[in-house]
Amino acid sequence: MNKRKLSGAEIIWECIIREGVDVVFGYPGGTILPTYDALNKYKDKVHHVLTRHEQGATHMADGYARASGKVGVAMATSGPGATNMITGMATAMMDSSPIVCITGQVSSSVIGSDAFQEIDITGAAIPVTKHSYLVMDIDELAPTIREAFYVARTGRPGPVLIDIPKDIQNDSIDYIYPEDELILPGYHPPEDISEDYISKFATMVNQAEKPVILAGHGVLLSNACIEVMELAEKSSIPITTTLLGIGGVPDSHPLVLGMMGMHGESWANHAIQDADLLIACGMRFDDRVTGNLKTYSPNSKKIHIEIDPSEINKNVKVDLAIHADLGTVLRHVNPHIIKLDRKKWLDIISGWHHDSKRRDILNIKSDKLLGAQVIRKIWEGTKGDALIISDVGQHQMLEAQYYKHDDPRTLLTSGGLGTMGFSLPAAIGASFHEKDREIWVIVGDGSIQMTIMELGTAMQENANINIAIINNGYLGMVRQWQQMFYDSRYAETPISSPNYVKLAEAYGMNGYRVDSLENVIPTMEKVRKNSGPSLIEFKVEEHEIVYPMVPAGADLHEMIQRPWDEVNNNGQKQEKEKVK
Amino acid sequence: MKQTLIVFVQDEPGVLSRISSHIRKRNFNIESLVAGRTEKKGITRMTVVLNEPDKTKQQFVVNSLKQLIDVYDVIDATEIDSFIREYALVKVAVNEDGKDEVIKIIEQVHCNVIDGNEDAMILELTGYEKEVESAIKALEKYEVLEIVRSGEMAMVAGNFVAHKPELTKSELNWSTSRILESF
Amino acid sequence: MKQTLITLVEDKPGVLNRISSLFRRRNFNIESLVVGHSETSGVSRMTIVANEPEASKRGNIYFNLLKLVNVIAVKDVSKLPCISREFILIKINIGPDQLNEVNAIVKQHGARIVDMGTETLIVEATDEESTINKLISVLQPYEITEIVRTGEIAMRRGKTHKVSSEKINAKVGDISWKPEHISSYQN
Repeated sequence: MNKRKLSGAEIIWECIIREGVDVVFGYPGGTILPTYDALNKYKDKVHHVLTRHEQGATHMADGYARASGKVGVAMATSGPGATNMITGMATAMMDSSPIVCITGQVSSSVIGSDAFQEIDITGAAIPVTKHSYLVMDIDELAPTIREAFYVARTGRPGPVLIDIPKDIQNDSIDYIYPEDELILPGYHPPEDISEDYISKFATMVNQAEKPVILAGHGVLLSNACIEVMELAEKSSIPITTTLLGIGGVPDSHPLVLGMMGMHGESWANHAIQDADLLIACGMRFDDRVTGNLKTYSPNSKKIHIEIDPSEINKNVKVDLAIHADLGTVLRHVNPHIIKLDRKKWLDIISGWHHDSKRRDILNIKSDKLLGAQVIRKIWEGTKGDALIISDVGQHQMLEAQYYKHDDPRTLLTSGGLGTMGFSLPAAIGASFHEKDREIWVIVGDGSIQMTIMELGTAMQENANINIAIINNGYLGMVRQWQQMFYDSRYAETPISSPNYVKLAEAYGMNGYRVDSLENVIPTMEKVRKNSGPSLIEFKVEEHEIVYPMVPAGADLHEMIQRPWDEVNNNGQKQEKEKVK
Repeated sequence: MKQTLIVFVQDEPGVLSRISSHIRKRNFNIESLVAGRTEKKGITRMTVVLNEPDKTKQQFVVNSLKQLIDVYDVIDATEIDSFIREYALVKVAVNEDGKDEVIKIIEQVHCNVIDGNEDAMILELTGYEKEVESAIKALEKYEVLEIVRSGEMAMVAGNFVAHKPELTKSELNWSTSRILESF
Repeated sequence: MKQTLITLVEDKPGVLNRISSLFRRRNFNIESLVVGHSETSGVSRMTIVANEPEASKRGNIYFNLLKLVNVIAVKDVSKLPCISREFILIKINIGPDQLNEVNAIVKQHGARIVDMGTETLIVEATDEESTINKLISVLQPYEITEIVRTGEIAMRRGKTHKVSSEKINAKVGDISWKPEHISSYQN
């Protein structure tokens, strides 16, 4: 081994580069200065993206990680720099996205004294990270960084924080990269696949009459898309996905029912409630997916394949629990699955289709542009081939319903935490991986204003992203709840927007405004010819409601559907109607 | 030098997390921490041993713990006459013949044999930390399979008013007394 | 049901904080938690007692604990033959005339007087939790001024395997510390 005398700051960059990182998102400041100074030596190997806010840096690292499957890296200074990262880390934690956040810390001698810009970020990060480290000894620096990347990307991926005091960055030692086998005594890999479970699994599937596959984020994280489809096709099992599972299975496949849950397709929810076997693949039965737990799929046996054993039996009690990697399990199980056509079961489900499809908002003739129409047009315009990053709110649910994703990792969105403002920075991050792909940010007028300063980063990096702002002048999802459950008392939901076209111009990018259906595709075509970031503001109907909807805590089959009145009268009247 | 603190806290979920988080945040190392119920309902008593030689820092940690809303009072038992005991369970692998010998060894310290099946004995030790330590050392000539130690537990000797904790904390004089203290 | 977990953790700053924070944010209720050194240097040993009626919730506690990076091994000994002891110090205010009386009670309950001041004495006892509670109740008529107790400390009976330092470094391969299977928490 070649020994070299390196500073802590240099060791940070050496280790990051060894992990295969070529882009870091960050924001410099007092306690991380030594590391930024050392960056000058590594400029040819690592590209640093200066963000406009540390939250943006974490979302960019997150977006990069989700698009690439590699670990994203964010960097910030101590104190406010570090606390600004909390939201980003929590977002990555809830959605199992591997990121490593590196923060500067005040010198180790003054830790605990409330020094300038000191905050106990290692402690504050405990609930929002997979693990957090405070490096108090320069000898520990390289092993810790290596360990952090390992923890972030293995098992159930997640965010890891490394807090490095300034004196450790300045100190120097003979640097040797630890090459020995990485051993973490408290880090437990999943158990081996046992034959017993394989045969039980296969028997349950083969004997079931009305099975449904629930495909979650784990399908993507485990790269098990092919295996899940193989299982489904062999045994003709319909598949429904969670929000983060979208893209794991091709939406255009006849067995794929679409999204389940609160704003899921009604037929998918009916199928779950009526099923006699649920095969949960890499998902965690979130409350947005199950509705009322007491009445959730009452007659079904449940198989749960999950890499994180603490998720098993947390919300829903299961009959067969398998703590293992999804792809590996299915590769073992699939050979034992008998070919079946399940015509009866699939016919029942298509029966539910028919009714719901007639209630579709796209059947309504509206004077005003509708959010759903815009998203459907973006799908048509991009031929379903773009990488979509959606934000949080009505437009997120409409995107999930009206944009059909056939390829894995083509939709990035904040599911678990529901972080408004996620999309723009995440798209910038993703653009560093998907350099040739068309990228669309679908974002509401509320969400974009939460991280709008990152337009500056997009321009600075000339990121090839197209931003579609669905502007309805409201915090739409909250307004929807107020309309449905609070007698339309709109408290603080109307929100004003800047002139987005002028704002785009101010940042030096192309901005457009569209308020009619005919103009959607032509404007999209214009934007697609531009290189670098562009922005389109779609002025849409203010009072659009996302249907169907399972009210929070209600039974999954008790969804509120679009009222017939509205369908027949072209959106004139809105009234609640329950469909059993 | 070690610092031994007796901390009286409100018995509610998360209080252990608050105390341990606070001490870690202030960059002190917890050597041991024992928490248990007391004679008073709603009060948990902790004995916290810290590894902090600096006198000023010792004072600082006491004051900063008192600042927590959940903490009724903190007594620094380091320099007052106090009774500090530790408890340990030790499992040694011995066969029938060795048992008498083990018992002989541990007769010096206060020790009970609480389980002795064919090939392993569980011994219970109580004493001052040094006593427990030396007993464990003496047992090391056998195969020690498991050790559980409680950490140190402190009780102030005698009945001095000055060493009595303030366990009634009305909202009002709580804040005023804190302000007065800081002058 | 009472759930007793023997937990081996890395002896690093903040580990207790990580564990207590987990219990707080997941809303698990701990009855007691005792932490101290173990037979292996660099490894602390905890006895955690929780009380959740549902098996699946107990499984949840177990696996969430195991998930922490600093937790080396967790053994759920709730259903295994094990001894569970508690250590207590009780300070009582008494006059000289009551000394013999108290001494007799204390002896009768397997406890001992370890310190005697002018007006106070300290009683020390080690026993199962129920016996300790009984001792407190019989001493209740006297003026109890202070109580310190450890919480429950558990150890499995019979021969178990030592967790050697090499094993800690090369994962805990030992069968007696192997993680529980999910099915053991199925109803």
